[in-house]
Amino acid sequence: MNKELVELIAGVLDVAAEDLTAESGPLSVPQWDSLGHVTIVAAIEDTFRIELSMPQILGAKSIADFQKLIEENRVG
Amino acid sequence: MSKTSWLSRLRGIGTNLADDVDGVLEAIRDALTKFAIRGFELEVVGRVLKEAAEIGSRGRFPLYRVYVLAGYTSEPIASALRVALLREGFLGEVVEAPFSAFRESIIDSASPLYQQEYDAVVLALGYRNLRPDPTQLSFDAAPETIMSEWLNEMRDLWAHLGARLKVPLFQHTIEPTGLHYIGAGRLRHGADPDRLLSALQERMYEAAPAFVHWVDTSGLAQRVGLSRWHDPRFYFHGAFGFNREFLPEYSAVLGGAFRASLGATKKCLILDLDNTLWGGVVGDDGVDHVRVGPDDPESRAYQEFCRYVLALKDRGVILAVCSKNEEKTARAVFDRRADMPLKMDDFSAFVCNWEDKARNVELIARTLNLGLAHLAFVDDNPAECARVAEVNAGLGVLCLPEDPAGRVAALERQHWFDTIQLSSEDRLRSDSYQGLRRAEEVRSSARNIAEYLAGLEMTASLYEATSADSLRLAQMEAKTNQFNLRTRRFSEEEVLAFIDSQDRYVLACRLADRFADHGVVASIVLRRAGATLEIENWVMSCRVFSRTLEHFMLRELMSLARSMGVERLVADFVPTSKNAVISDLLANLGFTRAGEDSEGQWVLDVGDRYEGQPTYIAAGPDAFG
Repeated sequence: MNKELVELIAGVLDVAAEDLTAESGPLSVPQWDSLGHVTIVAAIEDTFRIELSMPQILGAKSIADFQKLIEENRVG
Repeated sequence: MSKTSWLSRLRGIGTNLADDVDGVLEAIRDALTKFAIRGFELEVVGRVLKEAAEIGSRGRFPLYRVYVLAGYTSEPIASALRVALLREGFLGEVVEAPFSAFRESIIDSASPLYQQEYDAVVLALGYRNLRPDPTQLSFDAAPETIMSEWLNEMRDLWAHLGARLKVPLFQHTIEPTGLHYIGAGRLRHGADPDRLLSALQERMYEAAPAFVHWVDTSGLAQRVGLSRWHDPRFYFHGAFGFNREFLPEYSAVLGGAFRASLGATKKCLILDLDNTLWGGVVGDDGVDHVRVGPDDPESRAYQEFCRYVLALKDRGVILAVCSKNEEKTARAVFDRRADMPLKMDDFSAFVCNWEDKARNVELIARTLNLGLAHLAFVDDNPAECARVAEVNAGLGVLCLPEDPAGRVAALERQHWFDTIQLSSEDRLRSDSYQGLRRAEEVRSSARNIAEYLAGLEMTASLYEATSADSLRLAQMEAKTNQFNLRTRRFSEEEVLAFIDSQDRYVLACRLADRFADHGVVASIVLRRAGATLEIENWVMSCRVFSRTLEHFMLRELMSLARSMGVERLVADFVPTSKNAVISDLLANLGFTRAGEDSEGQWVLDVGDRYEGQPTYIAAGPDAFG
């Protein structure tokens, strides 16, 4: 997993990075509510200099999903 | 700096929130002054501040309670507000109205908005909140009809708020949609949304009651670019009113509006010279060769910065120079260079020497009778900026970017000089301070203070204020920290109500001397109860301290009291951290404590004669005596 991404999400949600895995998402992390989700998107867009589309934002359900989106958007 | 610096910084300071709230707040506030913050980081900081408000400050950060009415998701607004208030030294307790229920919250007298006392209310609206929706108008609709519908609803909401609220309402200006449809063809005919919205804003400025303080979100949206400001993804996803990337800029605009209302607007801009007002070092390059003027790109950028500074002065900002230079050489640039827009007369203080700048800033503060919190300092040298910021707490400090072309924007981003409304005294003020500098020059040549004061040839008049004075009087109530007897902070609405009231009297005082007309510089609010006249508040601008104006005012007040058949004046002094300068005022003027009780009110009997303290001010027209 991308360490920078995990630390970024941990910082936004105010949880320990060690407690997060690739599968972590809104269902498994209580702090990951809807507002937390859009703040994570803003943080990722700003940090990795990408822009996600609305379907991508809605479809991302885990850290692994976000990691895939970052890689796709970077290539594209 | 690592990309996650703000988040890791928060982790560092956030762990001991419950143990040491004030320490955490202090650390965040300090970091806010030193490091730029991005939108999502601001939201995370906002959440920490929300927790801090739930715990409560242990005393260092007074609580400031705000109710937020938003037409869209209010959390980001609340976060920006908490950050803006912390920058000003307050712990914001922000209560958010139910989602998108701003109309209901305003109209329903039983809504939570009216059940508690707040310090301010924010009304955060965007164009999508108007009814009818500007993007859903028929192009054939009659513009006047739509305009009336919008304006009537706004008037209605203001009427509800005005009837129940006693505090300022901070309301967003409405930004354009940025939709151009058929291009320029839309501009001359039909109900084009942006044409109508800009006309609506003009009408709202005219129609808004005095308790409405505008937060210029429309100006901000246009500065950052409408196509970036509006973010449909997040509007559709979570009803966010604007792109949250701009929360830091939005927070700065909010801060400017609140600062003006809290009386903490910067009044004076202190400028370095070499590589700040011109390119190059005048001591090395010579007066004729420093770069400012029309000749090359760099000189043009410096000239434009100087013109911007001059425009600030024109809008009431006091200018001062603080430079490591030979004074004579430095002056020559302003005196001899025709392409230098600023002239010596534009500066109210001019300090050129080789001493520590931190000390020179203090000297300027003393000369102008201003607290450090009202001063702002710009310099191109990071070391000087750091030193000055370290020593002079409360001073606004901006280290200019290296590129001279980016400097106007850098200065604007500070929102140091934001006002809610501009009164004519704001513009007079700069002249008055320049008069002060000339007066200081006279002072050094006068043999003693009496000669100095007599040499100023001062005239003043204390008169009953009218509604024309209310804006200026409310400004003084809000801004005056030092000579403020009870720090009541009467609002413009209150002042207007006092002017109309039977038992209250509002007196304004104008002062002129042979150097400048200072305009309205002091005011007294009185309440009559039988044979007693009570001083409810007394404020005086710090730029006319030590001129015996208070002695003049009391003499005039005694004549007024006598003519009203009043037997005694009573007054109270309420100490604050900033008004120690007048702690002996009442005793000096001849008031005595009522009864044995040393906590009692101060009383002064109105006899046939009042000896009082000497004054060097002659009565101008409109005097009571």
